[in-house]
Amino acid sequence: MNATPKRVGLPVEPLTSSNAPESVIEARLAAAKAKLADAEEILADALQSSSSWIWESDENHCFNRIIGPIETIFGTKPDMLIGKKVEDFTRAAQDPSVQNHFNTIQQRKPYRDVVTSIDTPKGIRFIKASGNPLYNESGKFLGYRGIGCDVTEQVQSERRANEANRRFMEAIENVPASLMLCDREDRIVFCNSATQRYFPTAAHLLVPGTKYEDLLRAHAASGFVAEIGKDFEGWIQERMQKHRSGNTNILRSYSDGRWSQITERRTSDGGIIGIRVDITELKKREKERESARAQLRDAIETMPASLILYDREEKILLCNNHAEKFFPEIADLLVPGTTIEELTRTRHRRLHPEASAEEIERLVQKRLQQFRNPGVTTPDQLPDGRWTQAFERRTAEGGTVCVRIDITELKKREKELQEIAAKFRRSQEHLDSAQRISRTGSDERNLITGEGEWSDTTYEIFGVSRESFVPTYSNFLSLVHPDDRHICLDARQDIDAGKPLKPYEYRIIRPDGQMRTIYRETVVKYDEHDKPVGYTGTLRDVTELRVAEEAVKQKTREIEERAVELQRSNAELEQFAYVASHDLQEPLRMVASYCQLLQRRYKDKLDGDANEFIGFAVEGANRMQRLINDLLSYSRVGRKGGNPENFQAVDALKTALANLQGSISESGAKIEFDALPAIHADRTQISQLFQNLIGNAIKFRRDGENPLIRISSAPEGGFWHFTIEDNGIGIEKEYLDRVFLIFQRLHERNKYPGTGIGLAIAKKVIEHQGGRIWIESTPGQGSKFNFTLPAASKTEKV
Amino acid sequence: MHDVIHSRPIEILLVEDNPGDARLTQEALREGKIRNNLHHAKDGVEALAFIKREGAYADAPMPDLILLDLNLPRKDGRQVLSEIKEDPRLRLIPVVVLTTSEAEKDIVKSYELHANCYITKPVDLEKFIEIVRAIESFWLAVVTLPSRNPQHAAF
Repeated sequence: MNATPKRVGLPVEPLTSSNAPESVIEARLAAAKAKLADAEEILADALQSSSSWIWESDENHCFNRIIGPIETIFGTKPDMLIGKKVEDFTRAAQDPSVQNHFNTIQQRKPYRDVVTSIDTPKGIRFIKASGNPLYNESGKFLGYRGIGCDVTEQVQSERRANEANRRFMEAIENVPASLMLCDREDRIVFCNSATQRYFPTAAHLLVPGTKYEDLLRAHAASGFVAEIGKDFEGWIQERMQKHRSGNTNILRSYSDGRWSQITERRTSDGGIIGIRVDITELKKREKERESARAQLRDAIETMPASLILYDREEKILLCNNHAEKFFPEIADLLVPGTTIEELTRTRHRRLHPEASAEEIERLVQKRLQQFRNPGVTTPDQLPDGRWTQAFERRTAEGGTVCVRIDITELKKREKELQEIAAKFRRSQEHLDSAQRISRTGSDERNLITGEGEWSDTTYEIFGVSRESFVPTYSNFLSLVHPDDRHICLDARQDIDAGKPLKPYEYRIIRPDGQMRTIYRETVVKYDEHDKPVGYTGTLRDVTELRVAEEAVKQKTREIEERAVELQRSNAELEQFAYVASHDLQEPLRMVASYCQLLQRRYKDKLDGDANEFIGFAVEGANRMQRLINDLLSYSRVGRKGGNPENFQAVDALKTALANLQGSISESGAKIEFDALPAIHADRTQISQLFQNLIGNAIKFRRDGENPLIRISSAPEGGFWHFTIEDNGIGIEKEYLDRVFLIFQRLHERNKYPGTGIGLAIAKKVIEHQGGRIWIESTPGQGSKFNFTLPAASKTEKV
Repeated sequence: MHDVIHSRPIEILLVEDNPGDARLTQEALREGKIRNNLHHAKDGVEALAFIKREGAYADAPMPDLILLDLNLPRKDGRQVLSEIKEDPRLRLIPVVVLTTSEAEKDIVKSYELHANCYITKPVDLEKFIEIVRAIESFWLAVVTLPSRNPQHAAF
């Protein structure tokens, strides 16, 4: 374009090429100059009233001429600009557009409407410039000439408009809803990116120019819309009709479970604007609310209580079916709208048809007062005997909710509990008095908290008062005798260790200085992990008991010592008797034997006296031997404690009778006996006993009378009481005790021979078997010997 | 000298500490029919020495019968009985325990020690004489005893 630069512009050089006369030339020149000046003035004036200027630059792009209202526009005199370049004023020198411009002028090309900003005393101004390169005739580049104008206002307002537009678009993009604008031909003009969420299967059609119906068909055909039935075309038609109506409000569900609300409106220019909002969450919450409401309804219906909700006008809003079970007589009124007052009045009227109006009114007012001061009502009894109790509360809306439950069981339990409590109180009182009487206190300690509880008697035992003494463990321990504290502490350790605890004793020193002995028994309580959590126990003041026991023990010891002593002396005595009788036998034999030998050998050589004397000596020796033998028998009873066994007493009796056969037949004695029991004793000794007693009865018979002897028995505790009754001479009362003494004789020897050992042996036998023996007698009529012997033991066979 | 048993007097050893008793026995035997030599030992030690022919008794005859009291000084009769019956050479000699004791334990003990007979001395002289005679006839006339050959006795 610039290959052939042409000469343009104003003539700035003197016109010297014409051949006109100088004056003419001069005149023409002057006229031309004037014209030029005039033209320049007109131009300057014209420029002055505009915001444009004319400029010229040299071949280095420095301004060399500027005509126009520079000072007005920039606040700078035009002269100040002469010799300077555009780069000197602009901050935007590095901008690509400015760089591009510099390239253009470097290449000396013409340009148009290049906008750039420059710094001026009036601030940054935007200018728009156009320029043409200038050449002289010879084609030399002279510079540029051009026009500039101030476009600051336009640029700024344009920028503002762009900014507003950008913000608007941004806002629309950020709206969480889809916006779609269609023109009057129903083609898409605009839609924000959120729209893609509502047409995920037809997103490629979301571009300006798409017919809405095309979009809809692609969208619907993809199956993304949930409720399209089999009639696809019908659905499209219906939807399009709504769309065109410009007044659409649709809830749409999608196959991915989401929901949207679609609103379409006609725009002023005949288009349609559609807004789609995601209401999935809303729907979900709605469903949740609905199910919660249903659950609440179910819950209210299934609760084993009546629930009636009243509004602030005291009318029923809601009532569950259970209410009818409590109030069958007003079932017809348990519907929304009935007031509490009406309910109450009708109920009382129906229940108490005989009651006066005043009485009914009193009951109604009472109920209303209760209802208006909600809380827990006093229990009331239903006509069928059940007890109910209502719990009333104000609702946030000013209504009242009334829940009524059946407390019949509770009532029953309460009554039972009261009875138990009364019983407990009574037994507690009994316990208290029992404790006081027996001087037994009780206590309880919680091992977790350490708290202790003492009974009144416990305080009395320790000599402290409930008011002044707190039964902590350490306080308790301070009352324990210092020497015995370890006993209590050991027991406490055993409790903690879960060891079994035996009763124990310790001494206390009461504040009044008295020392008492306490017998302690403890029961430990365990939790479900077998960890000890506490204990209860009893404390008995056994001070006097122990003193008495000590005395008893002392006495027992003494008695035992005496018994041992007695046993020893008995044994010694028996040993003595044994030894004595043996040793006595020997010399006795010598006396008797040699006397006899004398008699034998020298009978003929001795006189009658000598023979008689020897006879006395021999007789004496013989009697002495009998005595010794009896003594020996007597001592043997003790020496042989015997071998106690179970046996029939009758067997021992028969043995005795067999041994006595001679004297029985000789005396003509008659022996009678009943069935006799089994006994536990030494069989041989009992035979001996029978033999001695029966023999005794036969021996002491009355002259001229046949002995009659009766043996009988009767149970007496674990013993049998035997009696041997005779019809003999009897015994004088004063001798009754003496008959059992060894070698005691009541009668002269000639009439009733014997050493007097029989009854002594009988007594010893009986006493060795644990029984006793005694005599009842009437002299001249007979005697009755009584004795007891142990009954046969159960464990041993007879 | 083993021709005829009855051709020699019977050798009887009486072990008895009581001289009265000893004499009584002697008197009783004297009234008997069998010829006998009665030797008297006053205690157990003497009795054993006699039987075993020890010391002063080296020439003593072997007794045909021993009448033994139980309660003896120095060595008790029970001990004497025990030693006789433990000795194979002596155990064949009949030993009659003749004592005053009627104690059961003494009787049982004596038989446990293989006494051939136990007799309690009666107080009555007639009875005593009867008993001594009975012993005499029973042990020396009625009972057949093994040969007194010491060689045999060793078995």
